[in-house]
Amino acid sequence: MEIRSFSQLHKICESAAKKTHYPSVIEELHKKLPREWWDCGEATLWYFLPRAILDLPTKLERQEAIASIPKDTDPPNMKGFVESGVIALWRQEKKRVA
Amino acid sequence: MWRDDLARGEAVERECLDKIMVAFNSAYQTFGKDSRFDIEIPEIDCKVEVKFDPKSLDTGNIVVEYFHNKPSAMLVSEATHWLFVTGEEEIWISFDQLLACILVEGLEPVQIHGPDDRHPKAVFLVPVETLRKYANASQPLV
Repeated sequence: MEIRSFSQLHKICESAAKKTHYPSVIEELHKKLPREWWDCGEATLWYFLPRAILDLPTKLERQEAIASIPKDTDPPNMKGFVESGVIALWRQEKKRVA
Repeated sequence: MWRDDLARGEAVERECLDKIMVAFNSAYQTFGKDSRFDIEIPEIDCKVEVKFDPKSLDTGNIVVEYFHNKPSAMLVSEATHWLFVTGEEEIWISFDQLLACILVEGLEPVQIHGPDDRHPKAVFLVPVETLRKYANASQPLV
């Protein structure tokens, strides 16, 4: 598949992120993106993963999704990014409900 | 042009460092290819990324880059705090708050291709007003 616009990349990243289990997310991304877009796609995942993980129905599933992110990712510290992102979105939702 | 921007950016970092050193005299600036952060303040264990973005005065948006042919800027920086300098204002924001700003406000990544760039960049365009809402401090430059 040819990537004609950056918004097309978003959609693919967003859809892959919904798999939430990191190795499956990467596998999906590689399946859907041409090889030259893999790095950019992987770098964009941190933006979509927190929402996808927060939308999981149970705390255990959220913990498992975060635990599936390896420590040695490229970009570095993907796990930290995603954790911080999930916390930021969770705090915002808590504030909105209160 | 690129060298001019680099020189201006380094001069702005130096000015920021001078101000920080009024309170924290162990603070220092990193040089060369050390892109982990721009200034370290050992006294308070704080690492600062300084971004000079004078174009934000015209566009109303601060550019936060994350991919430029490889993961860059916010994805590779080890800074605990970011200092955005527009030319008229300084905005201090912790890294966690910067992440929160981008995610909570739903600022979608966009691709830009600067005239001096060989490769396009993936960035977030953060409205200055929005950034201020999440900032730890913002103050006009005198």
